[in-house]
Amino acid sequence: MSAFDRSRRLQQELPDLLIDIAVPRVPDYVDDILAQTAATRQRPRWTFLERWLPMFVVARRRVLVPSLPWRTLGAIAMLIVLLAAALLIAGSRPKVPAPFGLARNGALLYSVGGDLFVRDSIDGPARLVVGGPTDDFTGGFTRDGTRLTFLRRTAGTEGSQDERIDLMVANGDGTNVVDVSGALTAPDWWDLAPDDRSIIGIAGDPDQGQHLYRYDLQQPSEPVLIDLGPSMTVATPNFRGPDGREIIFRGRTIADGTWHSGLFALHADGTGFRALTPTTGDADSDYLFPQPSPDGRLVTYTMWDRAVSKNRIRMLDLTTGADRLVTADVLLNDGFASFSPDSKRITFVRYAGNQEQIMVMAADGGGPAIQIGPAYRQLAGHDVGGSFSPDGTQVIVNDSSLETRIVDATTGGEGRVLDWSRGSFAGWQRLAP
Amino acid sequence: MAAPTRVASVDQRVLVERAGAGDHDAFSQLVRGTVARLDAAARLILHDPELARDAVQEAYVLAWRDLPGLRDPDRFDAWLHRITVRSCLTILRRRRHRAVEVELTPMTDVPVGDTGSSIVDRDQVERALRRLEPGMRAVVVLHYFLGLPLPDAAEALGIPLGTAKSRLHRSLAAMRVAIEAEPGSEAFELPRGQMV
Repeated sequence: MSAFDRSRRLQQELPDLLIDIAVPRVPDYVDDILAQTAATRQRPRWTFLERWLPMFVVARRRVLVPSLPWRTLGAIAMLIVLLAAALLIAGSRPKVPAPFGLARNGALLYSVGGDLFVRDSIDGPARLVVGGPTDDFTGGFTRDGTRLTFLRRTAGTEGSQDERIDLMVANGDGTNVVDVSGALTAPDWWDLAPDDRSIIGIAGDPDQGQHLYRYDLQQPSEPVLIDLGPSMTVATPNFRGPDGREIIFRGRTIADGTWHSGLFALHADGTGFRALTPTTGDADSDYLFPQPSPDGRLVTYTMWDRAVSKNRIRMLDLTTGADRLVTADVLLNDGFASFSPDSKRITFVRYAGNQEQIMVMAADGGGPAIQIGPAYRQLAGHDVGGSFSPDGTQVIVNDSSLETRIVDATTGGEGRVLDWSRGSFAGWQRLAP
Repeated sequence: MAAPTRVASVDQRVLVERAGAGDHDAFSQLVRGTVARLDAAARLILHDPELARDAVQEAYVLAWRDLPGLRDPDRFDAWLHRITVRSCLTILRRRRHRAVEVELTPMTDVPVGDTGSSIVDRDQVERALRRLEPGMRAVVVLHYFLGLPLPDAAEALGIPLGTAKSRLHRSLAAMRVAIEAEPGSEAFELPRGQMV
């Protein structure tokens, strides 16, 4: 049988085999769907532009968008950066916090409707920092708390194939906005270098695997690919404290035609590549969400326990190589931990049924875990995540597109809903203690 | 057994028009008539029944909300497929960094009917399918399970036709290689001694 014949046979049998695998049947959640749709209002017919205009007019609208004078804009951006640099040199240098570890709580950054806002305190008035017709979202303060980094959608719509997103940097008050990346495809997780002069992140078609890039925050320039070869893709890169000498990330490597996963480290200049763990993990479900402790001693990550179908939080000691489970209770389904600024506690997600609960416990697994905020129902497209405040006393719970809460990290409980941020909390400014 | 294709019937066209005008009973009938295939397609793409449930629920909510904007009721099925597949891929993309998303639960809890295909074939294909990237799984499911012609599959995924063709080609090649690499493979193995 030739390769062609085998391929043709597979194609012929695939429809029936897929039916065998999936066994189409009416699921038991049909009534849930109908209850949800019955409670949802339909969009009025008149709001659909394409119902009123011929399609060629709707389509042409995109074509008629004038091209931007990139060279002029680039030159202007360069001048702005030079001016900003001159002002920085001329001005006095404020005291800034160390790049890793505890800091004092500063302003809070969040996004609403494509604009970025800042509040100096939870109950303080909102201040628009980046507004206008641009579609800006997500973001955070630099490690020294003096500047903002954020994302700007520059083409396409959310989740579309033609969506393009630029990484931007601005002063803390929203002035001097500079595009430091150009148009990126699906930029994901990024982390600032300890000196805030550059940023690392991943980008690229997720279907093809994403790669690691370094962006210069000091001046607009081409992103630098940290080339790990075509047989490795990268996720969740983070600088390792306290000096940021290494980047730790989840890597996927291909061997014998099969993708595997593991944790890796390398220097920001691309040298010093090394594996931190075995590299035979499942490509999709092992070695997830690696987060180094701010003191650089530990890295926590999540593994999928196939025997009981649950997530497991593990802790790797980077100084000794010892690797252990944080919780030994096989009944718990815990995952996706990140450290407190003092490296002594972790906040993580506990899954139970179809609910997600943010928790806090000691990083060494000792003592009880406390509940942070309410349990949230798992919803498509909604991620619940927790992160510590710069001083480590509070946990911000972000239920994307639903609500943001602030909860005491020591006592836990329901906490307080921040009615001005419906799951769009972006970052908390770090100030010198 | 042929691929489970559907042709919009006159009845369905009436139901789509009524649902688009706000008739929720008509929409309920549309849901009951399409949900089995969409749930199965989502499970094939996501390999996780809970995520599939989320994706399908989200797709129907979006479909109900935006149905008044559907200009051609005969395109309802293709339109619904597009929403569902995009919902699946959006779930994967948004949760990629957390990966609760891809628990990759084997679908062995699903009862298997007497379909005439051997269990070896089914299991091998299922494992080969799991190894594909989600975007490649999606084009396989759209074309071979939902029966969409490639141009419609490309439209549903929001990708050029050429990309859809190359993804499908690469998917089939990868699946064939994976199946043949399995020890004891019978379904597509080479006869002994034969050179390719």
